[in-house]
Amino acid sequence: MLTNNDLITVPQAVALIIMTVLEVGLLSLPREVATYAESDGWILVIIAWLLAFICSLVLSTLIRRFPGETFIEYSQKVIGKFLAFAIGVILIIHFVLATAVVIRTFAEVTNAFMLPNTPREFIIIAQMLLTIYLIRHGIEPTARIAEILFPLLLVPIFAMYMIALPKADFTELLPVFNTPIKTMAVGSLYTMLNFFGLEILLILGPYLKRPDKIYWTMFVSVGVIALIFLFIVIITFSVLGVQPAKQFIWPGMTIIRMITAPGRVFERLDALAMALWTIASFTASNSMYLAGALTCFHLTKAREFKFFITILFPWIYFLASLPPSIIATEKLRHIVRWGSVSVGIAVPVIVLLLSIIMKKKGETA
Amino acid sequence: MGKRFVTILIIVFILFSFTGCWSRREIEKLAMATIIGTDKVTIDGQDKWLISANMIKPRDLASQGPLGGNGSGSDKPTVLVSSIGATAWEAGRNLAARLPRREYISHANIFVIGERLARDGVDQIIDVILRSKDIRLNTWVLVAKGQALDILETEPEFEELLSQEVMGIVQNQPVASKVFTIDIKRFANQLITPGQDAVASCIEIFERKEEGQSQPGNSSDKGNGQKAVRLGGTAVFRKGKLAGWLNDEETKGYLYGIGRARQGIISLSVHELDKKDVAFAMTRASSRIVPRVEGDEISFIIDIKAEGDLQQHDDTRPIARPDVIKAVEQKAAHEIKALVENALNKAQNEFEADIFGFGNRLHKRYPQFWKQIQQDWREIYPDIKVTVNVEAKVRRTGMITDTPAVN
Repeated sequence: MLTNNDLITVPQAVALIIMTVLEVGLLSLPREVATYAESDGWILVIIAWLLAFICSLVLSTLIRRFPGETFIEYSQKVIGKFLAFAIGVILIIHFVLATAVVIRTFAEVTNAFMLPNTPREFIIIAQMLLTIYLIRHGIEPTARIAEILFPLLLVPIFAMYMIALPKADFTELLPVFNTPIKTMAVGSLYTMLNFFGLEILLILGPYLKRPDKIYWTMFVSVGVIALIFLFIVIITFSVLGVQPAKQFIWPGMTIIRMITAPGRVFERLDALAMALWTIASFTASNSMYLAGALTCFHLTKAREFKFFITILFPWIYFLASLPPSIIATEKLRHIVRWGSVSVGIAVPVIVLLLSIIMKKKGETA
Repeated sequence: MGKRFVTILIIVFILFSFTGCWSRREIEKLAMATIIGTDKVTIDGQDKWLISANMIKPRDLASQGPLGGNGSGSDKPTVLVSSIGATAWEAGRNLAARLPRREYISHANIFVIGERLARDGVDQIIDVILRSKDIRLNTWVLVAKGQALDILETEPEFEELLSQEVMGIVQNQPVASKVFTIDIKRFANQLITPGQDAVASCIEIFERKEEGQSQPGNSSDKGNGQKAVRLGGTAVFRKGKLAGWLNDEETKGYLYGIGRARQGIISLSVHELDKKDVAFAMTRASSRIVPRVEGDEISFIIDIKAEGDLQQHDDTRPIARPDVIKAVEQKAAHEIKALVENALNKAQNEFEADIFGFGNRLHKRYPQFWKQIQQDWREIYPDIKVTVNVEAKVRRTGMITDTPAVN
């Protein structure tokens, strides 16, 4: 079934999942939570953390139940061939859209902060070529790249935002629990959408070397992601202020523009920040693109998956250049996130429940 | 053969596409602005923006380096450029008419807002600043008394560049605690946070006399000396429009009230009523603004704690005695209280501007109650009762105890 011995270890899986979820969308997270709940925004992140963890539990349980099998395979067993095929097609569309959105947002941020005159198409194609080159080698090298880039991304991000800490005014986080429960619930649901990327687990299943450790993998991954979210939201709120955080398109980036690195060596950190976000969006688009290609591969039971990378290329490019403006890109991002909820939560929950009711299990489990 | 040819072709294509930064801006093609001024002017009955900036002349700065020797020494290191346009950015781009290089504003660290523009409303300028990707949020905001352009015209006295001079003055302010300095980020935050009115430091021109400086605050006296800039007082905004100025002493009271006073001298009359004979050098101060809600009655308590040293004693009577020190402490507390109440009075009654952020404190402490009164806050605010409690401590008396008697 598998092309070669393409298995990823637990640390690799953790890195891959974290790097998939962390992408440029993180820069706009403080604005979103501030819009929903003002100074209670950071509480939304914590609630969203719990919700995302529950989702990941569902996904992990599926993997534990059907070890070594692809999502398409076991959903065929549970809900029938036709429905499974339809879901597979939806999954492909979702991953293609997600790749397009990640790459497009990256191009927008690059255009806004670094290369104002570079054609957006060029940034998109350059990024995609690099992604294609990597993911043609399969899932293990992709996960390895994620593992290598993981500390290279996280350490500087923490260091960078820590520099802003002396400017923080933590009274900006007051008042606490001042948002109506309903707004809070809706807000945390929306905030949970920022965890989009977790649905990659549907594809990752058969490639895990230790599917028995999947719960631990997910606990660590979701925890790290949520802590990063929380860290950035709190820093943004306390340094920038809640009201300004609502105004900026990328508050996470705006903070970088107001700090000066100590030691007067690097006065401006914009370039470093851009480099980091390039890494983040590169790894995110890798995973999404690969997931799309692998779903095609599972669905058609073809001999190898590289072929599908080429097939998906024009569609991703087309979708990435479709939105006319940044506002439209944000709209598309929302659509993708809702898609992620439906394929990442609703479908797995249904499949899991049906499999429990029908007492279907994987062969080795 | 064909395959190799295709490979080479692809490599050549890739090489062409990675030739470097398309959007690069070389440093020798840039005109770096160090200080930016914005004004509103009326031309033919139409309001126009007047943007001015001090641009560095790179050659001159370089020539003062160790390798350059002494270049054209008499030249100013900066050029003042200004232009007019219907929108701020149009005005900014119109600078191109006289700039041989592309203007570059990322390194500007002082942003001066002209008085007229401030009176019309800073909301327009705040959009210009926040929307721009080039203006940094840690740029200092100053409001000019008069035109910003005139401020930019003055010559620096200490430093080479006017921006360095103003920057130095801004950073030197905590020692006196008489000027409220604020950067763009905090300024914007104040403007858009409900229950808070904005303040910014005021920059003005004074003319130096032949010997010594003119009286502070007396900027209008016409000497034939050189013009220089000073920071003094605070611009108070109400609903984003400049409402008026606090003078140095009122600013001091304001700083004590919001807990932003760092150091500074307070002169006291201890032994006699009309003579300031003790200088109390504050070394540490903090303040806490506590809202109180009883029924529909809103009141605030400002708790101020100040610590300091005895810096000067202009009398031969004994001072290094616990009971006298206690008297000094009481006088200091009384003086600080008077300063704060003075500033409060001006903010509440003259400008009706909530510069202490009472509304914001209320919002943080009593969020539900705030929701009910938020709409009417501006009407409620001037009549709110504010109690100021000050506790002052004298920690040290300097290098001597009692004042030596001179025969």
